[in-house]
Amino acid sequence: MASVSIRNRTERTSISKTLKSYFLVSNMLNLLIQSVINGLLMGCVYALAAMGLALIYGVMNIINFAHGEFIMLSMYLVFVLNQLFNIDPAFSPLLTIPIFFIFGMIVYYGLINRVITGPPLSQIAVTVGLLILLRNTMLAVFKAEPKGVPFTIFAGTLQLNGYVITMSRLLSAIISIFSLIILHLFLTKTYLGTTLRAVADDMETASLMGVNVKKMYALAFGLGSSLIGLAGSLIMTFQQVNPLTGILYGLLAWCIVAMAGLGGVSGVLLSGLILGVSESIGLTFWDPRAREIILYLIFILILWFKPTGLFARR
Amino acid sequence: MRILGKNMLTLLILSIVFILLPVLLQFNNYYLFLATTITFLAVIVSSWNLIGGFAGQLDLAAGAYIGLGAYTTGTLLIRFNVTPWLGMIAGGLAASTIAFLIGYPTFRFGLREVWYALSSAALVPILRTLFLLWEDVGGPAERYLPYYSWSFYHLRFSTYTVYFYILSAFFILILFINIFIKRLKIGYYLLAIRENEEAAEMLGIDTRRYKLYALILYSYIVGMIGGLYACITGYIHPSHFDFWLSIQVAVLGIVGGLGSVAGPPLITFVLGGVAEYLRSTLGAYIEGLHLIFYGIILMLIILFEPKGVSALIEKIAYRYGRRYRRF
Amino acid sequence: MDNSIILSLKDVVKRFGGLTALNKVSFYVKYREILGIIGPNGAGKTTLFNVITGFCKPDSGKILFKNMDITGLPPHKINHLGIARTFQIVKPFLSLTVEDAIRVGAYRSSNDRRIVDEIVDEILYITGLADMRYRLCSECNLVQTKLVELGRALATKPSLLLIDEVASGLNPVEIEKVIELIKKINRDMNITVCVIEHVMKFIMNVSDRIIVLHHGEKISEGTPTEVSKDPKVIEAYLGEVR
Repeated sequence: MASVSIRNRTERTSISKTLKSYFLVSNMLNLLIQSVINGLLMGCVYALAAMGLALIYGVMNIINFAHGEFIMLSMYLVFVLNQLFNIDPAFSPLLTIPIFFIFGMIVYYGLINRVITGPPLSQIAVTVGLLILLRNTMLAVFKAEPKGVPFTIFAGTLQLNGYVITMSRLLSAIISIFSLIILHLFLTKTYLGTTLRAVADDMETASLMGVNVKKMYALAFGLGSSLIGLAGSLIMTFQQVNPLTGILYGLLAWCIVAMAGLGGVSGVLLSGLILGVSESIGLTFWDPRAREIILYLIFILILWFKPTGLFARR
Repeated sequence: MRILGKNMLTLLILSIVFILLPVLLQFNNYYLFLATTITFLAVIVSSWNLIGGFAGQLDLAAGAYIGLGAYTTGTLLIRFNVTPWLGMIAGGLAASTIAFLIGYPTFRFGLREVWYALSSAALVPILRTLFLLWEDVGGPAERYLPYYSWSFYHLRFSTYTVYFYILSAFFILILFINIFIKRLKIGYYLLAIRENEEAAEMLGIDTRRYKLYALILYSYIVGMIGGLYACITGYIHPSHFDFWLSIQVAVLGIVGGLGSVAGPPLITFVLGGVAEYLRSTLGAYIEGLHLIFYGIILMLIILFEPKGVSALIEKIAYRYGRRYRRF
Repeated sequence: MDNSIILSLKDVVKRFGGLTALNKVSFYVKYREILGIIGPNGAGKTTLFNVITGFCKPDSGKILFKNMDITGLPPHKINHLGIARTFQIVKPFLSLTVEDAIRVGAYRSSNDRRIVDEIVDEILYITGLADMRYRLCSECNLVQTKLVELGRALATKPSLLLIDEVASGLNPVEIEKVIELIKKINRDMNITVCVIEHVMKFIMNVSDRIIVLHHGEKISEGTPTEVSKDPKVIEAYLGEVR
C-alpha cells in the first residue's frame, strides 16, 4: 500500500516538474515572440527614421552628425504643436513634413552648401556644431524632463493570441512601411527619383549629362528632412522626448545606414527590422536600460566583420 | 637637441611660468582650481592634436578615456590600495585597449572617416550606461576614494597646487611630444594621411598602422590623466564619462588649428577661460550656455577659416612678408 | 618565368555592379620600357591602374610583379615592392610645403633624415621644382602640382612607375617638359614606365610600345606606328579623334 502511494507521489512530482519546465519554456517563448513582434514594429519606424539619413548620405555623401538631433527637434515640434494648438500627433505629419522640408532646405543652403566641397572633417565638424547647438537649445528651452503628448487618436491596444500590440506602434509601423513604399516608387519610377539616384551613383557623370547637381542635393536634403519630420510625429504617438533622445536615434540611424550600405529602401527596411528585433530581444532578456549598449555592440560588430554593409550594392 | 632648436627655449620659459604661477596667484584656491581645470583641458587637447590634428581623424572619445582611466585608477586604489601613480599607468592601458578595439576595424583603408567619428562619439554614452549598470565596479552612487589631506601615495591633497604641478608637467611633456613627432617620419606620415589618405597609401604608408599609433599614444595619455582626475575629484562615478568633454576637446583642437602645436593649447587657455566664465556666471540661468557658445564658435570657424586660428595667424604673418613659418 | 618582364596581367576581370570594367585583360610590361595605354573614355584604363596598385581587388585573374603574385595586396605593400603611381585627379598634400610633400615619399626609402633630405634635393632638381620648395602645395599651379605628384612617387624609389593622364590641362610647352622628364626618368633612373594618356601627340612621342583598351578589353598592341594604323583602333576612336 505504502509503496504504491510513494510511486504515485514521485510520478506526480515528475509530472509537475515537466509541467513547470514546459510552462517556463513556453513563458520564455511567449516573451520571445512578444519581443520579436515589438521589435518588428519598432523596426519599421526605425527604418523610416534612418531613411532620411540614408538618402542624404547616399546621394550627397554628407555626414550629418546632427541627424538624431533633427529627429528630436521634430519630436519637440510635435509636442509644441500639441501644447499650443492641441494638434494630435497622428495628424501632425501634415504640418511637420512641410515644415521640415523647408528646415532642411535652410540648413542645406545656410550650412551644408558651404562645406560640401571641403574635407570630410569640416562637414563632420560643422554638423557636430549643429548637434551641440540643437541639443543644448532644447535643454535650455524644455529642460531635462521628458515631454510627452497626453492623448492621441492612436491610443489603445490589440490582443492577438495573447500577445499585446499597442495600436500606436502598429499604426506607426504601417504608416512607415507605406511611406517607404511610396519613397521607393518615387526613387525608381519617377524621373526626379531616378535623377537623384544617378547623382548618388556618380555625381560627375550626372552633372556632365546636364543635371543641376546643387538642386538635386537641396532636394535630397529637403526630402530627407521631411522623412525626419514624419518619423518624429509617429514616434511621439508612443514615446516621450527628452534632450538625450537625439543620441539614441542618431546612433540607431547610423547603425542602420552602416548595415544597409547602399542597398536602397529595401536594405534600410531590412536593416531596421533586424536592428529592431535585436534591440527588443536584448531589452527583454538583459536590461531595459541597456538599449544603447546593445545597439552599439551590434554597430561595432558590423564594423569589425562586415563593414561594407550587409546589403551593399557594390 | 638639434631637433628642437629654439622650441627648447620656449618650453623652458613655459616651464618656469608654470612653476611660478601658483606663487603669483598667491596660492588662492579658486584661481588654482581654474588654472588646474584649464591645464587639464590643455593636456587633453594637445594630446588630441595627435589623432585629430596630425592624423586628421575626428575623435570624440576623450570623455571615454578619461572615464576609463578614472575607473581603473580609482578601483585599483579603493579595492587593492594600489597607488594612483601605478594606477594611472593601468588607466592609460585600459583606455588604449578600448581605443584599439574601436580603431582597428574603423581605420581600415577605404573605410570613411565618419565611421570612426561615430564609433568614438558613441563610446562615451555607452560606457556611461555600462558602468551605471555594472553594480560591482560602478553603479549609480559615487564611490569615494580614501580621503587624505596630504598623501603622495594616495595622491590626495587639500589644495590644488600639487595637482597643478603634475598637470603642468604633463602639459610640457605633451608639447614636447608634439614638437618631436612633427620632426620625425611618423609626423610626416600622419600629416600625409590627413591631407590625402589615398595618396599616402600609395606612397607606402600603412595608413591604418600609423593612425593606430597616434590613437594609442593619445588615448594612453588621456587615460592617465583620467586617473589623475579621479584623485582630484575624489570619487568615481559614471558622470566622469562626459560627452561634452569630448566635444570641447575636439572643438578646441579644430579651432586652434589642426596639426599646429601652439594653436590648440593657446586657444584652450583663451576660450577655456571664457567658457568657464560663462558657465560660472550666466550658466546658472541658462543651462548649457557655454556649450551653445562652443557650438556657435565651432560652426563659425569652420565656415570661415576651416584650418583654425593658427592658420589665420600664419596667413597674417605670411602676408607681412615673412617666409612661410609653421605655427 | 620570364626575367625580361617586370609586370604581367593574366585574364584580369573587374566588375562594378552590372558594368564590366575590365574583361579578361592580359598584357605584359618589359623591364625599362615605356608602355603607353590608350583607349576611349570609359575604356577601363584607370580601373586597370587601380587593380594593379591594390585600390580595388579584381574579380578574377592574376597580377605578377617581378614574378611575385601581387593580386589583391593593399596599396602600401605594393609600393614597398616597387610600384608607384600618380593619379588622374591629382591628390596633393595641400597644407604641406612642396619639399615636405616629397619628403613624405622619400621617407619610404630611408629612415635617416639626412638621406631623406638628399633624396628631396635630388627630386627637386630633376623635376625643376627647386624654387618652389618652401611654398605650400596649395600655391602650386596645375603643372607644378603634377610635377610634385610625380616627384613624390619618384621619391619612393620605384622600379615601375604608373602615370595616369598627366598631360590633361597642360599647354604644349608644359607637355614637352613632362615628356622630357619621363624620358629622363626612364633612361637615367632605369625606371620602367606605364603611361595612360589621351593626348595622342604625347603618347606617340613617349612610348616604346602601346596597348589599346576599349570597353574593358585589349583590342590592339604594338609600336606607336603599328597601333595608329590598326583599323580596330581607328574604329574605336571614330568620333573621339583629337
